[in-house]
Parts: sequence; structure tokens; C-alpha cells
Amino acid sequence: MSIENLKITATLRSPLVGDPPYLDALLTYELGFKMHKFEDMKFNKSTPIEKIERLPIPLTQCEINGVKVNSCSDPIFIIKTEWHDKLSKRFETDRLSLLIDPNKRKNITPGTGHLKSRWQPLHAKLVDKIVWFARGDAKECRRLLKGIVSLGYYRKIGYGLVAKWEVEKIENNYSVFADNKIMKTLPISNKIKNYEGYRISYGACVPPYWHPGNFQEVVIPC
Amino acid sequence: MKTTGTVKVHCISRTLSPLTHMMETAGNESIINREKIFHKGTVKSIPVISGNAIRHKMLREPGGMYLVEQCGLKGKLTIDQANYMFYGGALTESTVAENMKTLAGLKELFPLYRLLGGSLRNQIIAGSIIVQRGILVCEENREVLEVSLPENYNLPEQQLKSSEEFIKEYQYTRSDIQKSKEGTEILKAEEQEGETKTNLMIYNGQSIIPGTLFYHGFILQNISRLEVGAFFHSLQNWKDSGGIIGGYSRIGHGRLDLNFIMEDSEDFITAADIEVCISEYKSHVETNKEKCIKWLNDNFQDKKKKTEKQEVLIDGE
Repeated sequence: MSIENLKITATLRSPLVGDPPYLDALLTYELGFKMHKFEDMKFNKSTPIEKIERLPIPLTQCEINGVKVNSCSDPIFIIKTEWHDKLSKRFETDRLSLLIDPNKRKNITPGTGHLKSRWQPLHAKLVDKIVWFARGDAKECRRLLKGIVSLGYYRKIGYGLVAKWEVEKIENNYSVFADNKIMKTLPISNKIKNYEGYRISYGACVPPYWHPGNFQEVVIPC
Repeated sequence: MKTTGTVKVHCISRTLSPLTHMMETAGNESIINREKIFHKGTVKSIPVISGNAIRHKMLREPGGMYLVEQCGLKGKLTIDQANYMFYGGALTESTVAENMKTLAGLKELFPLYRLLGGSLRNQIIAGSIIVQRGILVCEENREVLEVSLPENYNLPEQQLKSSEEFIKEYQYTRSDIQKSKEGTEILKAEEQEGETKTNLMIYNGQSIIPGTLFYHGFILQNISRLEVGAFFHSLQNWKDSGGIIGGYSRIGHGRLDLNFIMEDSEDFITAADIEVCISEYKSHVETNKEKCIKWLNDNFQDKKKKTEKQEVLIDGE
């Protein structure tokens, strides 16, 4: 494994719904599939964090306030415009009534319940490129990212499609800090206070980001 | 040769009649569905066919209908079964469970739902297909099209038409029997007396003109040959039933002529294997139809029946 400073770019070809993911979360997810980790194990928020294995993704780690964080910046992107798309769903009683067993035919209420018709707004964002700075193995990152075809929510209906992934080697390491700015969500510590461009929040700074076991006071770059 | 792999299908669809895929209404005018794109420094709204519509019309509906016909389920489905087969189902139980036996049964028996995913009463099942939105082939979309089209397929160098040139207005009238010439002969005399409210209505909206091209596609991830068969068979059924997308199909709108190019995956599947995969899928459904019916009945039981069964078990203990 050769360790280099990297700039990773995802060029999108359809609007994005939701926020772009963290790079280490993406790599963990893809590596998990490749290592068949999700086949025999299902985990959720109630699974103890100690039982969730941290996978060997091809990024280096640095220790901040006792937490080993992966060397990769938060996603950097520019929203060119935003709008609301609509997701519709309707149980078409008119078309299906003859397929239903005559004894099971009944009045349904499309305004409520599980057959409720939907006209759900989706907050779509026009984002051309998403960039992450990282420190790790370029070849391995390229291999893992190749399998990721879309990002964000509602990928099944064509949002967040990735046109191409670019993994470039760069001179400087901007994965965690760049000059006097922080580039990544980090645990709060005295060292961080020397930097600027962040806000204090509560959340995770290592994958799985959704697990409450990883939650702590953090600083988020802004 | 691999038994699973990823398949990419690129499609170019040509509208054969006006396409009315509406997003909202302004008064009695339907507005065509649009997405925003960035073109030459400005944001523009360009017509688009949603992936949600393509997914339902081209795959879930024809695929579900085929299963209903093959398994002899016409007039035998429950509302929840129909909701699952045609609309992806919904979580209806308060406790979410992950029943491996149910999942394994579904994945073994229904390649179509392995592909599309959906929601049983108490668990959500992820699908393995990504349905791309229908992008209008126009100058504003040139950049997106260039990165989306398969290798060796290039757009012409000369300028394409602007998206607005593909949009036209339609207008129809719903007539009222009281205003028609025949009304006086058909209606009762008392219906014609005095002042009556008329239902005569003019409605209009935007549509895409016939002959317009849309690019869309499908990415089928980590799938087997049976899923490839289910996918192409559903697409074929959709084409055979007229190839309709969008609204106003009752008056001939929304006919699409779909042409696809499948990216060959030498170690998994090539375009030459499509027919074989369809045959394999059809024979899979034919062989397993009894098991399919049993699975549907077991997993969409009436709540009352389920409780009775549980009570019997408790009594038995």
C-alpha cells in the first residue's frame, strides 16, 4: 500500500437528494460488500458499537483527543440551485379492483393509512462535483469507488448518479487540516481551538456515522 | 463465467404521440415535469421523465401483471398483496422485524421483486436496480448526455434544438350533453326546463411533441441471470402493451418507441444471452407458481387469521 495525498472528485450527472456522504463511510460500505460483511450480519442503532467491526479501508488514521479518525475531509460541494421535485404514489383502485378477491374488496381511504396517496416533495440540489481530500492508497480507493454508481437518497429513481470518479495525487495533505482551517468533522479538543472555520455540534466523526455509540461533541467545518 | 454481475442498459426512446408527464397544475393548465440544469451560466428548467414513472410503468406494472396471470391470481389477490406487487407495498406493522426465512423465500421465488425491492408488512427489502431519469435530448443537456451515452455513441457536432422547441400546448374540451345537439332528444323534458348548471370544460396543458428523443437507462447491480430475464421480460411486456408513459393515455398520449443497448459484460452476460435469460425466467415462474402463491398467502395473511393461528398454537402448548 503506497500512501499519498489525494484529491477525489465525483462528477454527478443527475440532481442530488440529501447530503453527499463522508468518504470513509462510502469506502467502508463498499469494502463491507466486497468482504461479504453484510451477508451474515445485520446491525442497527441498538447493536453495541463494540460489536461493529471497523473495516480496513485504504486511508490513514490520525488520533485526535483519543479518537482515531480517518484522514479524509468532509465532502466539499457547491449547490448551483435547489428545487422541489415530487414523488407520487397512488393505489389505483380503478385498475386493480377486478384483480382483488371479491370477498376482500372494500372501501379504501386514499387520504390516510397505508394506502395513502403520496405527493411527496423531494429537495433536489444541482451539484456538479463533490470533492474530498484524503490521505491513503490511490489504487485501492479507485478500485473501491469504481463500484459506486450513485450517491445520496432516492438513488433507485435516478438521483445522484455519478458520471465519473477521479482520484488525483496532490502535493499537500488537506485531509484533516488545511493551513489554519479544519477540513473534517473532528472530536472537540484543545488543539482544535487554534483553528478557525468550524461550528460546535454533537454527532459522530468515525463510521458508522449514524450510530449513537459514536456520538460525541464534535466540530464541523463550515 | 460469473453467476452474478452488474448490467448497464442504455435506452433511447422516441415519443410517438404527445407526451404529458405533468408536474403540477396552474388553474386548469397542466405543467410538464421539469428539472433544473445549469447551462451557459444560467439555470434552466428542462422537461424530464421521472425515474419513478419509468420504474412503475416499464417494470413493476407489466412484471406484476405477468406474475398475476401466470399464477392464476386474477380475482384472488388481497389488497395488501396487490399493493406489494404493483406499488411496492407499505410498512403496516408497528414492530419491524428481519425474518430471514421470509426474505430467502422472496429472493428465491420472485426475481422481479429481488430486482425492484419493496416493503412487506414488517420489513423493507432493498432492490438492486437503479432507474435513470428520462433526459431530453436537447442542446441544454449536451454535457450530461455526453457523459451518459455509451462508448462509441456521440452526439452530432452541430447544435441540437433547444428544449423549448419540443414543448407545445394542447387543449381539449369536455362537452356537456345539455349543450349538445342530441341533448334535446335524449334528455327528459324536465331536465331541459329552467336554468341548469353546465359541465362544459376546457382544459389545457403542456406536452412534448411526437418525435422527441429521451435518453434514460438502467443499472442492475449484483444480479443473477433470472433477474436479467425478469427485467427484459417486463420491458418487453410493456412494449407489447403499447409502451405508454405519462398521462392521458386514454386519448393516445404518451406512446414511446424504446430502443436499448446493453453494455456487454464478457464474464457475466452479453446481449446475445437476453432471450435465453427471458426463457429461464419464464420457466422459473412456471415451475414455482404454486410456491409463489403459497409465499404470498403466508406473508400477507389477514390479521384476524394470523391471530387465530397464534391462539391455536398457544392452546396447543
